[in-house]
Amino acid sequence: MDSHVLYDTLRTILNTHLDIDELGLLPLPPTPDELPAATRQYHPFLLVGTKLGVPLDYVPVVLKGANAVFMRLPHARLEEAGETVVMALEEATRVIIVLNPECNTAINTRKKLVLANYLPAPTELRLLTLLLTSPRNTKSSTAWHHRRWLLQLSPHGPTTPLANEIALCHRTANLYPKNYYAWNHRHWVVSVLTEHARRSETVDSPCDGGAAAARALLQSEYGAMREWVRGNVGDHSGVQHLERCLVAVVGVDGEEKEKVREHVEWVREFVAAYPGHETLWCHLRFCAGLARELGAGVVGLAEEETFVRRCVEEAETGKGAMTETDPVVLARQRMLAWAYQLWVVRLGKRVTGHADATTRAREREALERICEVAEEPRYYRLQLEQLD
Amino acid sequence: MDRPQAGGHKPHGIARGPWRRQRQTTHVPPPTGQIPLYQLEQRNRPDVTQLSSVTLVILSHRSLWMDRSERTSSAKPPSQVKNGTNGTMTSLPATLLSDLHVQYIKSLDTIVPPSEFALLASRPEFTGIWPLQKKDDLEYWLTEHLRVNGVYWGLTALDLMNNIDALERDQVIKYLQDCQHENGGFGGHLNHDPHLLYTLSAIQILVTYDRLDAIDVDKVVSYVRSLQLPDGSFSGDEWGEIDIRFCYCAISCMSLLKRLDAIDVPRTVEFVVRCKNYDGGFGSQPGSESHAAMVFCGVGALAIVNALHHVDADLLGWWLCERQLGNGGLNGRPQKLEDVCYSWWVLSALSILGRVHWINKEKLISFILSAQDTEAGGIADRPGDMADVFHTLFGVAGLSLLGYPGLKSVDPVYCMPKHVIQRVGLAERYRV
Repeated sequence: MDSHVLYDTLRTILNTHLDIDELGLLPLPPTPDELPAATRQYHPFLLVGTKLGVPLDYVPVVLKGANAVFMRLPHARLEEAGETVVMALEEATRVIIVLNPECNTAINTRKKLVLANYLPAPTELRLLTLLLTSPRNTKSSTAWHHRRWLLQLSPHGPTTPLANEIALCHRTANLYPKNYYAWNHRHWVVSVLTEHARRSETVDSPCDGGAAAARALLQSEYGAMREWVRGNVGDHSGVQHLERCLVAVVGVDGEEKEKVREHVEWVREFVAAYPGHETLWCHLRFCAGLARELGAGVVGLAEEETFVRRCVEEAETGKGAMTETDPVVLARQRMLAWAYQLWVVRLGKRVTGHADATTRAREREALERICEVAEEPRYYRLQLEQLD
Repeated sequence: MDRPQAGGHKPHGIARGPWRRQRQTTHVPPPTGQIPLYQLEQRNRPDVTQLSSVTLVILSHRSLWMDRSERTSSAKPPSQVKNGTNGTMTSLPATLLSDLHVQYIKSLDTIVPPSEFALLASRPEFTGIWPLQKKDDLEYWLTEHLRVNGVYWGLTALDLMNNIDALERDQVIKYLQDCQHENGGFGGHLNHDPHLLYTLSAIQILVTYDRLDAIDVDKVVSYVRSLQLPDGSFSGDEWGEIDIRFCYCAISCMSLLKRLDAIDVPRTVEFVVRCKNYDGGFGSQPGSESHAAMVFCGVGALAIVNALHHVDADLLGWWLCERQLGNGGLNGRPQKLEDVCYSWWVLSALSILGRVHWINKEKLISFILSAQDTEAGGIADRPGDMADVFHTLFGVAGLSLLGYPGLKSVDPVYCMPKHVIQRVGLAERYRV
């Protein structure tokens, strides 16, 4: 099919149906009789209600057509371009970024269109929301940066409610798990909220209510992330964002020790109930460091050791809160538990700068146990040799 | 309980084409179990829950929304994901098929074989385009804007495999000249905007060819310098995206040009150190999740400017070792799939820290070899997937660091052939 015709069809669809709210890629092109009569003229594109499907096979053809138009136009010198050229540029780059937001030159051109007042920022934000409904697009750092750039255009801070951004990130976290740049965007929202939560009440804030509202939103984000992690115990990106939320909430609200203490107890129950997840043990390592930073009395060393032994024992005997019976997973749980003991011992060594006999014994025990169960024990064997 | 795992994350620009596709020629087991139609599960969607004829059309296509390989990995239970490659390939290649990979990289050039270059270059319509991708491919149109990266990946792989002349040198240099902008930066392709990611690749290629004289170096220096921000970080281009990758690009580029004096190195070091996390790793920005590719950028940048004392080598070394999975492959973050490119990101950092022996080299070598396409050449992210030039370079470079026979040595800091780094007289800042 001719690339210019296909480009033109998609361009027409996007120009005509401004209510499209979801974009998908179809590995197989639909036949014309599969399409609703009202939108059959758009074949091979699938438009049903507000959902647009683009057949994968036609993506390169459309991009070729869009690119041919884009590259013919003077995108580097917008100020010399007339109205018609500007419109054509806007349409071509819209089609390009909907299918390939990583194309920096197309996105840059759209930034220039925004700055020259040809393209309203809210319209562009809506387009980004649409293209971020396609799972592959959500991995684009260029798309996320473009969004942040638009949100930061106003010197008074983000122009849309930050709760919307959180909702968007929440959806993309499910569309494409462990999506690095989507979580970075959510980190940024938390950092903006933290900044506002610390300001005085009178200053305008993006959450229509000043510092108190920002604090409330931070709290709700922390709570929502705890809930999210409950359903995604293997997603390290989400857990890492929870760490950011914990730090933010503790920093803004005070009562550090109590909060961290409660959080650690909550994590431990998870670690015990869902064995074999490296992600949860990593989170526990993070918490161990945070607890030590806050000083004595948050989490004791003896307590950590008891917890490790409990997890090892439960993985060996199958008792406790977990329902897991797969021996591979249970062996991994034992390995991760001993690796956590190693982490805690080494953390202590880093803080105090030395190791007494008890510490050395604990380190040796952890290394020996890991060597027994690790899928790949080379590193731990070498560490054990170094102790000797 | 666990969400489906999708493919490994690739930072833009140091990434290969984004669509993971599986090879048709190799036997790949079909997805097992029910494919989660997550879009239906996850959200309330009143317009879809009413079963009108319109809805049925959407539903009939909904299961086809994602591409096949993503659905395959989605269907894996976590325990399998953790362990696994796609699994049941009967015969794995035991050696590096260098000749085939050289042919593969050459085949990506669909414009001009070296023998016909002189003739074609004399024609007026010749643009010097060097696509490094078949032009009808989806990959081509998704990656056109980073073609200059592609040339760097291909050329470096070819040199490590003793075949640098498989690309036409003069054609590549003319192409790069055409990609340089008035402000000194390089675009990722003709008529594309400049960016640090492509500027570094262009400089790496020109230094490899010993042809810095072909471009205006002073302009490159002023371009890179213009992108440094007060906190020491670098913006990737004039539009302000900040990332540790761009710090690496700037430092590596200025070092190769012997112009580190032109940027504020101590400030850059400060920013890079701010990207360090509790686990010893580095994220793309302060507070971002540790990621093996960002670790390479952080450690590489600090190594070049003699600031490795900011790295806790034992702590980071342990985290890097934890990236090795039971099958020998390396992942880039906890509970992600193994991927050939992490053979480079993880291994180069371990090499700079003098700790390559901490991982199981033999198993990693087998894993990289198993990801080769034994028919068409090239290396994929993992066995059974489509090969691409990005993974071909990082597979070959990983094998080089592991001492695989028949390959030239690679410099783990610059990701360039070691003989080139020696020729330009840069110190070797690593211990293999």
